[in-house]
Amino acid sequence: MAASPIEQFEVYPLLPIQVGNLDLSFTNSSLWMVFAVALSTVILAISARGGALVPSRLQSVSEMMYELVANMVRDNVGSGGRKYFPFIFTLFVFVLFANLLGMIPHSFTVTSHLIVTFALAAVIFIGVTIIGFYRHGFGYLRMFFPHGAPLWTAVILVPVELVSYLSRPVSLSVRLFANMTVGHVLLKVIAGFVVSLGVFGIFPFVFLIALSALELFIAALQAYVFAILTCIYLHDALHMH
Amino acid sequence: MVRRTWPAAAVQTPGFPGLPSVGRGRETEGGRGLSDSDPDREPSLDALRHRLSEAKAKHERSRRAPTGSIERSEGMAAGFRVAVELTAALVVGGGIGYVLDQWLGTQPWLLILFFVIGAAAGFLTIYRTGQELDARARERREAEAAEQKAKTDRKGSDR
Repeated sequence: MAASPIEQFEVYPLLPIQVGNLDLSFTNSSLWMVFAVALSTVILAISARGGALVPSRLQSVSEMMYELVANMVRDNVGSGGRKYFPFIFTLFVFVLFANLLGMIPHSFTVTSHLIVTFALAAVIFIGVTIIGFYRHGFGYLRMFFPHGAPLWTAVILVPVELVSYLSRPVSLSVRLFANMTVGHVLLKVIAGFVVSLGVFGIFPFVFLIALSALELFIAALQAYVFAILTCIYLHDALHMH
Repeated sequence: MVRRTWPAAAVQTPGFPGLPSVGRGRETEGGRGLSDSDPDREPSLDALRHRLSEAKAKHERSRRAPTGSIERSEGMAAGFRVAVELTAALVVGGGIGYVLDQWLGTQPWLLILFFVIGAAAGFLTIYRTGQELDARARERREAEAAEQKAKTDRKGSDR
């Protein structure tokens, strides 16, 4: 019988580590994070070593990623965004590799766990807020009150803006998590049909192929969306709307 | 190489009346023009430019064609983004209200109040997202229009 479609999301310890009351075990999730970091580091290091004028395939992949993020930062963060490029690039590459590695059968999709994406989003949210206060001091609080609105509307507008601001890390993390989880569950369910329908499994199988292509595209697209939203938040912190 | 095959094709095509269709007609026109004027010389720059722009147009068409499904899933991503933003604002608003209620013992008033505020915040976020997506789409349209204009200008200067 087909395996449960949510079995793939199970986290289990590979190397149990217990520090006090904290369970710091090295899990399969940690392993695939390490894979994502190692693979991206190796690919970028190898492709950057040559530095040929006419790039090899690998080098042009790296250059495409670099240019994509460089353009994204330039267009969305605006002036003063240059120094945040390394962070955005790292973030993009990590999410991209985590998503793409998740497409390998029997692998583990790191980004299909809300806590992982939420941790990423929380780091971004806290970092961006600190940058905002560092840049503008308490003037950053004007962010929560639109310029030129009558003062009495502050009673309504400030809570609304505050909630809108606080919902950013939630929407950022939920979007990535939901996309990855839904896609992988769908893949597993359709794959289950392929097995259980016997000869007629060819129909879901064809659909599965198309779906896998779509999922690969979504894996890349969601990494892009994650990075671009970080850029937009950064822009708000640097230039205040 | 190109010089040899090029007039040959131009000579052949008029032999088959069925053949010279949309793309072909221009080719023969340019080809005959250059073979008529001086068959042994290099193809004139004009004819070359003509062929180049035609090949580019063909390449462009084949490049553009399969983006339909990608554009659709980009639209899907935009829709998903908006849905998540609305939900997130509602959840955060409701969460704040619930926690404050627990803390201050004012059930259920703050939950109701912050739920409404969360809804307003959700719509505000969606409005801003819509503006941002709009601006991006406009930018893309303008870039495409500029590209189109540059192309027609180039074609105009060919003649």
